[in-house]
Amino acid sequence: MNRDRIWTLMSRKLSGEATQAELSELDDLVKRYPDADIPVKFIHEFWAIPTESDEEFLEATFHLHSDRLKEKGFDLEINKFETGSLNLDMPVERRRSKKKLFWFSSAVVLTAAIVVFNLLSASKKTYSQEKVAQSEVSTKNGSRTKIQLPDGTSVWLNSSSKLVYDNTNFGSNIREVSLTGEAYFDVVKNPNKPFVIHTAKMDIKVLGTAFNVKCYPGEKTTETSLIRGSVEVTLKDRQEKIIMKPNEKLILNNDDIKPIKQLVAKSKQAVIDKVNPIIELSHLTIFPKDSTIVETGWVENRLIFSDERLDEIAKKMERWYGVSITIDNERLKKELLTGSFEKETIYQALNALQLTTAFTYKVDKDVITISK
Amino acid sequence: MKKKQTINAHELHELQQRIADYEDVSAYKKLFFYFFLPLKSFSYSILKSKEAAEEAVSDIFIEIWAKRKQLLEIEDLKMYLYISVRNASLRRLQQTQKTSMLSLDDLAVEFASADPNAETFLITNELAHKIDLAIESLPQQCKIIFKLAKQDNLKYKEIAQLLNISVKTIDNQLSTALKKIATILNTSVKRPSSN
Repeated sequence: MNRDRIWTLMSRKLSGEATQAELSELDDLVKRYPDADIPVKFIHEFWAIPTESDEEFLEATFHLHSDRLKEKGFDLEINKFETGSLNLDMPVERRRSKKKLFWFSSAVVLTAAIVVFNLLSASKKTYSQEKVAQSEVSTKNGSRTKIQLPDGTSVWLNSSSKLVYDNTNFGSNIREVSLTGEAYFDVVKNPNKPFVIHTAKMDIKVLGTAFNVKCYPGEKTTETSLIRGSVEVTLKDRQEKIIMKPNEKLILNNDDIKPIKQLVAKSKQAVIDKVNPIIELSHLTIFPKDSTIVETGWVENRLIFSDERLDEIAKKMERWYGVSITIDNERLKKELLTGSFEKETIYQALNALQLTTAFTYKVDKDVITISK
Repeated sequence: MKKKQTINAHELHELQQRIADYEDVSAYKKLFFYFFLPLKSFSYSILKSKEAAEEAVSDIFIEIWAKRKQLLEIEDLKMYLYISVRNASLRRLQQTQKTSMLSLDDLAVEFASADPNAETFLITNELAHKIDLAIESLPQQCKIIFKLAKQDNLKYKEIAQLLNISVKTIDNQLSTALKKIATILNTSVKRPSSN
């Protein structure tokens, strides 16, 4: 019997071609030639090692492929929504996550956004041709949307927000976007091409991670909440860098130029009581009832607040419902409230809040006035 | 340990059905994600150009979507994809080099590196690199067979059909490749018994 037969039998075994008789023959041979034992073990392991999969490359390639399909008259985006409803009957699709449901429920908003998105990126033709144009996606009060960047990164854009990026250079060396408003990013990992988000007050650099950025103009603070991974935040006014860890939240006071002071708030109380520190590193807020992270609840189509001042809540509700709210009582503004709304109308939400805090409200077209 | 990304016949048929009956884009995308890289790599070995290979595979996937309604008529979708890519690549080769013969010695087989994040018990990065070098030095025919068996999980008769060679040749060539790797391992791995 030939010793080399070990390798013939090994090949058959690894490729799933070996018969039962051949498998036991292999065992016998390895026993007879003990020095083959180690290579046999190593080759077994080597065979099972997967090759490097490149999700970002695949996402980007599929994006280009979709463009080529569109040139031939097949628009996948159209089918995406048609099948969305059909698929509800399929067992495979029944396990859909909340996030995905959000995707479909906001299909109308999304279609509008995608039209804009596609108009701006319509100049893409072949694999080699340069893309030109700046892409801009924006939402109004009362609407939210989800988009996918050319590298596969998902961005959920909250109400009254705007995301801009340069289509020509996106992803060539660095992936750069500019944001005003609030967005949740799920960034596709690519160590060679850092993803940078520019806001008025801070730049956030990431390699691959999920996090929320809130930087509405006119608001007192800019906030970054990190769900997983790590990010590096650069504060523009002072060239200071802060590395954040998961479950941390960085709050920057927008209109203060006092000396550098970094506070780590141990409890929520500290956030409320401190006299507007410049920078605060605190923790994400967990909604007690169902352990949802308050900062990113909106991504799953929920308006959540936990122990927040009524005037802050009013701002959120203005954007969420596309209305205007004024509070004409100073003490009422400081009331701390907790709540979570999903499908409720603005009136149902206000009525629910009335159960915990005594106030009245009157409605005049799109303007709501809250008083004691 | 991180498992190899494979798709079994049942899962593949399910995707096929979702694409055919529901024009399900997510199933189509999944199919693309499963097969794009191996098909591109196979096409590259014939065309020796990344762009041409990507375009050839993209063309095949466009065809798949174009005739999605008849997709269930294809009995073996995996082999259908491989053979379509082979034929499309050879057609392209004919346009540029006036040859449409698949010459196994004239291939440029790229052996994708092992996933550096894969958990292994025995094989260190250094050892994996040595094995890669050993595979790199194999003759092209041997290399493509080894690659299709290990990385693409193709059966002997599938490889035989794709490359127009006999099952016996595959048996021999795979055995040669493994023997070569075993030699490398024998000289690189310290035996626990030898002090």
